[in-house]
Amino acid sequence: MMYRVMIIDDEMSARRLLQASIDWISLDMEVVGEAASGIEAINIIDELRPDIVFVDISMPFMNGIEFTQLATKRYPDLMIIILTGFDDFEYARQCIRLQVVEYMLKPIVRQEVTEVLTKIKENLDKSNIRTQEIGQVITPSAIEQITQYLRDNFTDSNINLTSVAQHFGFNSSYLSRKFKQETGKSFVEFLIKCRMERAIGLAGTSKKMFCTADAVGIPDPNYFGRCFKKYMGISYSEYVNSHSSR
Amino acid sequence: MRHGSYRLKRDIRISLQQKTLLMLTILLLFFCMMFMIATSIISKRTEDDFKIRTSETAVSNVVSTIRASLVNYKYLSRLIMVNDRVVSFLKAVKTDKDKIYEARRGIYEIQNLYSYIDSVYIFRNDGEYVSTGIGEYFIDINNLERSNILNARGTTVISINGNGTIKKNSGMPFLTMSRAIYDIQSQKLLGILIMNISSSVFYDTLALQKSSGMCILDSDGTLLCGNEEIGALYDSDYNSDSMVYKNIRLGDERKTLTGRLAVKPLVVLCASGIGAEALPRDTIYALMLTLTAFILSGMVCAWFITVNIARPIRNLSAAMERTRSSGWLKKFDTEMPNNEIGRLAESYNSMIEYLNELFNRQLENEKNVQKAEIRVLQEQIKPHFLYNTLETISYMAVQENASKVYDALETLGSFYRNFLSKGDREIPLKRELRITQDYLSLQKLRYGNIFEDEYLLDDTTIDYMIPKLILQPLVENCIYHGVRLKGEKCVIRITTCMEEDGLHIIVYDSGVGMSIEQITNVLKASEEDDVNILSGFGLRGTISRIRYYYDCNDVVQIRSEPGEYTEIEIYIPKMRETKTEGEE
Repeated sequence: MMYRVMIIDDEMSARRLLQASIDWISLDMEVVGEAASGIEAINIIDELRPDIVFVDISMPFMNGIEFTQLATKRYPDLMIIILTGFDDFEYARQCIRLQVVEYMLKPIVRQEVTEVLTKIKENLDKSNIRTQEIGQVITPSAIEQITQYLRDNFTDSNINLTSVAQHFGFNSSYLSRKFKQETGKSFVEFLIKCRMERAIGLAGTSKKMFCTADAVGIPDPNYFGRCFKKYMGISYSEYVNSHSSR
Repeated sequence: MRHGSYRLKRDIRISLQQKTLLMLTILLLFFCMMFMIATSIISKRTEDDFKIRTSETAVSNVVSTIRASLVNYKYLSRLIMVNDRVVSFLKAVKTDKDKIYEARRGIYEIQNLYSYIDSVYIFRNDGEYVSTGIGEYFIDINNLERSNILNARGTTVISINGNGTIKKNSGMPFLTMSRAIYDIQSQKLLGILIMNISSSVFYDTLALQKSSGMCILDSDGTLLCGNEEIGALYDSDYNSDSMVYKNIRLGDERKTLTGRLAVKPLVVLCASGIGAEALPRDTIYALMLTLTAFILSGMVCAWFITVNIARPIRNLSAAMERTRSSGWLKKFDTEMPNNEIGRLAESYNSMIEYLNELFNRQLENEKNVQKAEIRVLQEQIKPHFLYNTLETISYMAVQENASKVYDALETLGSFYRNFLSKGDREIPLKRELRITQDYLSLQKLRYGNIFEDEYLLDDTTIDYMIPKLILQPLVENCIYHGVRLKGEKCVIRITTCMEEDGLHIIVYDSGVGMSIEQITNVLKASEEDDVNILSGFGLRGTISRIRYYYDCNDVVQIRSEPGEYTEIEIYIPKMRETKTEGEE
């Protein structure tokens, strides 16, 4: 099985360059996804289930440090590599406290990245025998509780499958499976649905997109915009326009 | 913070301690002198008193002896007066030889009892007389002081030489005792008795007093016996019943002349002069004790001042002097007494502390200003913008499959990432090598393959901390002043090795080389020119920087053969190896 790699950087060219310049196959790895912000990453990380994450430090809405703080708590096995243009001791110190695996300077040099990934691969190979604890059995009523919890808390931008699973004391993949069984929708779809329904309501009041985004728990308006378009088929501004002209 | 050039204006000629001791010594000497003077005055006084007392005693003794002996002679004269043979001579109507002879024998009988009686004369009223000691004396019978004697009415009249009426052949003075003789029954005047007593009667008396300065004389100044010089000093004031003292000069000496009337008209005089015991021993001991006490208290005083004032001040001064001559603003920890001097030391220390604090604050301020300036400079370079742009272009290159372009961009990114890395003045050698390699790769892209770079690295050296950007400028120098001028393919070789004294880095290039003048120029200029430290990143500037950084001139060697090669060897002294990156 190949190791799954996720790249989080607000610079599209930086993400693409990393993806394109490294010989992933020979490292026995594949890039399974990317996120343009910490917010987007929190929302999609449960679907991507990466083993290794590259995080740029300077990102809007949720920077690399904040993301790493959340991620190390929720995904203790996740290998996090910090990328930064700052050659700054203060950042290095924070990262050391966060038990980040590696701290790398941008612009990236292929040789350096390859060396770091080789080392990480060795570590992952060693600790590969992972026991999947199922945890307690999830009953339909528990799912009921969780859907209610999501309706109440979807404005919290940090919420995701793993955080909810941890909150209720369930195994996250088991919860994911059970959730789909019971509701017919995936956890992420359900969370997006909650947020979009609220967003549609707010769009009706011609609220600015970034305000709406913030209000529904996706403070990154770019990611919100993509979610909205995917959900409604049209962009937020188109929706607002059509709605107000009516 | 060195102030070695600062000089003290004052040289201490006499230290406080010396002054104190000097003053105390003078005081002690003064005390001793005063003591001597006082002692001598008192002892003189005592001596004088003693002498006067001695004289007084001598005079009194002589006076009582004279009185006693005169009483004896008076008694003797009475014995002569009442002698039957003498009486019969006096009462006889007519004198004859027998009567005279008998009378003389009677006188002799009594006279011989006392050897000092020289002669006795007994005059009858009619002028007839009997005498003993004839021939020795000449008596002026007609001028005898008859009235004086008669007026005394039977009591003795004493005079010397019979007030000039009698003379002795030898010329020696003598005592004359005269009295009128009355009949016992009828109380009729029978005659006059004159008794001449030799002056030697008093010689023994005077000799007994062991004083050469004594004499006995008549109240009119005629000397009876004793010292003539003293006798010459007589005046009538001594003709008194009580003791009289006068200061006189005898030769060169000042003396006191004591005297009084013994029996009218005899006066006894005595000049003080026997220098006997002056001061009683007890007094001298007491005085010595006082002096010793003075000296001791003076020494205690000196000791006290030395220990409590002079020495602490000297220590303080010495400590300050050490601090001053060391040229550093250091506190001193010499033990100081817990008083004003201690507080002085404390004040000095706290002043030093305050000064140091001020200096440090100033230094800190300057550092902060420098850091701020560097930050501004780096901000102007905007590395983030540069890096992000480089990554964007890199991605474009990757998209276009321009792998060489991507390679170049990656090297450029790496170079600037290391080159612009902020803060650290020292970086590990491996990072400096990374910069240099990237630089050379980029230069190869510019100029084509005009050189090959080789690295002979000692593994133990790569983590050694060196000042940032000292290798890259040397390599740059190789390209611009060695390789490019040669026009053929050259080698640039970097060798590192660890020696006992530190790290050695040798940069070799097979370029055009340097002449000896050029080498000396470069080395000299970088020695003299401080501006290079700030401005130059060239060869000179780099050499200056290393020299300045390690405060050592012997850090660079340049070897070259013109047309063949140049080899620059720099030496990084061992001292900062342990310092890790990012510590500053």
